[in-house]
Amino acid sequence: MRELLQSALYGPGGYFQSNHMVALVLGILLYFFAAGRALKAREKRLLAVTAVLLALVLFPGSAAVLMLYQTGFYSYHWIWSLAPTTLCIAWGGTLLLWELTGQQRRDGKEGWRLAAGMAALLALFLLTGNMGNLRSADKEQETARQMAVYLEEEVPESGEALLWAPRPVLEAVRRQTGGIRLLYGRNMWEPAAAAYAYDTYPMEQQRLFDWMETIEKGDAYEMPSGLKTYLEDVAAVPVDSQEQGSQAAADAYMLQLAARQGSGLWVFPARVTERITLACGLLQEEYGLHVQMLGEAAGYTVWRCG
Amino acid sequence: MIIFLWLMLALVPWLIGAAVQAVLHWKTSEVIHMTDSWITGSLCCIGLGEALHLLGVFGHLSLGRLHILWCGSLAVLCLLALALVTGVWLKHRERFRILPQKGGSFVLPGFFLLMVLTQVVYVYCMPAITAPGDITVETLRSFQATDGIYLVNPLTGQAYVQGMSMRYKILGLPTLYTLIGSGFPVDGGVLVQNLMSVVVLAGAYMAYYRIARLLFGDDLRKKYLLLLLVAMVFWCGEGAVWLDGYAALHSAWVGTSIRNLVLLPYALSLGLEKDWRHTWPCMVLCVMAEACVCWTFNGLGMCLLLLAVMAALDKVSASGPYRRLSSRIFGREEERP
Repeated sequence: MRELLQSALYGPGGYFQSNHMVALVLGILLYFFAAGRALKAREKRLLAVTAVLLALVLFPGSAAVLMLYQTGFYSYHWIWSLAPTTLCIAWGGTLLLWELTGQQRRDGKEGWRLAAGMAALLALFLLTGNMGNLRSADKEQETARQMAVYLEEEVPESGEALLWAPRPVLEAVRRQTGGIRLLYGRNMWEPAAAAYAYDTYPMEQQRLFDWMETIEKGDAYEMPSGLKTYLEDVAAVPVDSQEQGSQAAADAYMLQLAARQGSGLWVFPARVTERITLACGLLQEEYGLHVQMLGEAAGYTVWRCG
Repeated sequence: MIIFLWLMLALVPWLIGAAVQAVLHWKTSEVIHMTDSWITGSLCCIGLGEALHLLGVFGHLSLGRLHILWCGSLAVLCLLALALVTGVWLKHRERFRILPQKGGSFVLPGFFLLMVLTQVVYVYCMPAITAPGDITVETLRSFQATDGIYLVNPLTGQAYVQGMSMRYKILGLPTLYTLIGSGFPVDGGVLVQNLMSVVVLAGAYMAYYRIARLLFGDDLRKKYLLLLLVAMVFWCGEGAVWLDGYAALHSAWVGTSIRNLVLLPYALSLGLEKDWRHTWPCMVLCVMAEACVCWTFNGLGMCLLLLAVMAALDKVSASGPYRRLSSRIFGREEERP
């Protein structure tokens, strides 16, 4: 309850940062309450409901109760769904535009006045609104989708073996087809997606995810401490060593771990092919596992183990 | 086939909803609006989808069988609805209103339609973005791949080890989408993220149109101005997941978006009518539909809370102190509905 109260206390500030249009709602409420205008019964009800619901989501005590009511799956911001902000802005805007642009006066220019008023209102919306989520074809997502299509159509092994791949490919594959099974899914790195099931991942698979992240993101990405400790303690490989041999040994250990976890189909970025080839050579020598490259597409390479 | 799917999505809910509205207003001679009918019919379809979903989950019925049941039930419902609607229509033709009443200029409706058209094109044609925490497409794909409901974890395709949350398991939205798409050659991702988004967006404007009708009566210009402003708010407020604009333009297929865009405005409009005796069946439908598509507090969702707040306000507004306060703020002049 204390956590809920804290989120309810600091939540309104965060919400206001994401949606300045709340100021318009408050302005409309204030105007209609203060101006004392004659309203129809339904309009009064709308105003009263909006005011009460706004008070409920703003006051920390009631907001905490609302958060409890909406379940822990949603954060503070979601209780604002209850307050009809969009409707209040549209209704208040309609009445104000009507009044301020003198729509009752039929002098032939009321249309122009309304257009000017709407332009001003649009400017206000743009100033107080929150834009910038313009949909576009993300290049990384597009290449990952191409890889998913390639796996589905060109790699017959994908229907049998568990797939282990970088994060964008795994995301794209399950969105593309239900026929390919993954070693781990989006619930590994996205807490909201993990809320749907009680299943958790064993430590080994979490380390495999960490290792794939380092492979995908390249040298600029610092190896997570969990993976570093794991490699040093369990695999007995000195991670900080600059020697190519120790890196290949660490890579080979992680590859055999993936095979032990049941994954027989691997996808890696094409730029690390040399590194993977080196590790695969060691994998055969040390662990007796045979790895074969099946193909290359969309900046990724596909490998089959066993 | 896609055109046929569009027609089905438009006509089937309308037909079922018109029949339900005709039954609900059997004794009165109220006009049955197209928007009310479509929303009511859609809520009934959600209920049917949920019933089949529960059959699939707990009765372990395959997707193929559920599809047969879905088509059969819809066919029966449509035939019954058609008979009922035809009967009422033959007696009282004036009760069915397909289009808004005539009169007024075309400028505002034209602007509004243009705005909606840009949104529809945007939602239907642009590549979908991943809504955080949303796994609808993955779930639909896993249903199709396994020919069953929740036989595997949608995110990995592997069998569940410790199972899934019951509160999530009972939500029937992915099954409804799967059933809608199962008879048509349409890709699951396109169906969910593009096609259903347009349907939900249309539902949102119908719900807001209903409110506009209640607030402004026959004043067509004010009604379309309100809708135009709603469309502008959608365009200008789409930067965060919890905003209505984001729900309308980026993730309309998600349960919370359906709740925020359609169910809550519809519930609010029902509450505004202040005619609880006639509107309660639609209120119940609304609350139940939310429980079918959204993660709620044991089925008690936002719609119920909103209606409870409105009912409480009604009680308070009938009391003396409130009347005195109200007349002091708004004046005594108008109390007409």
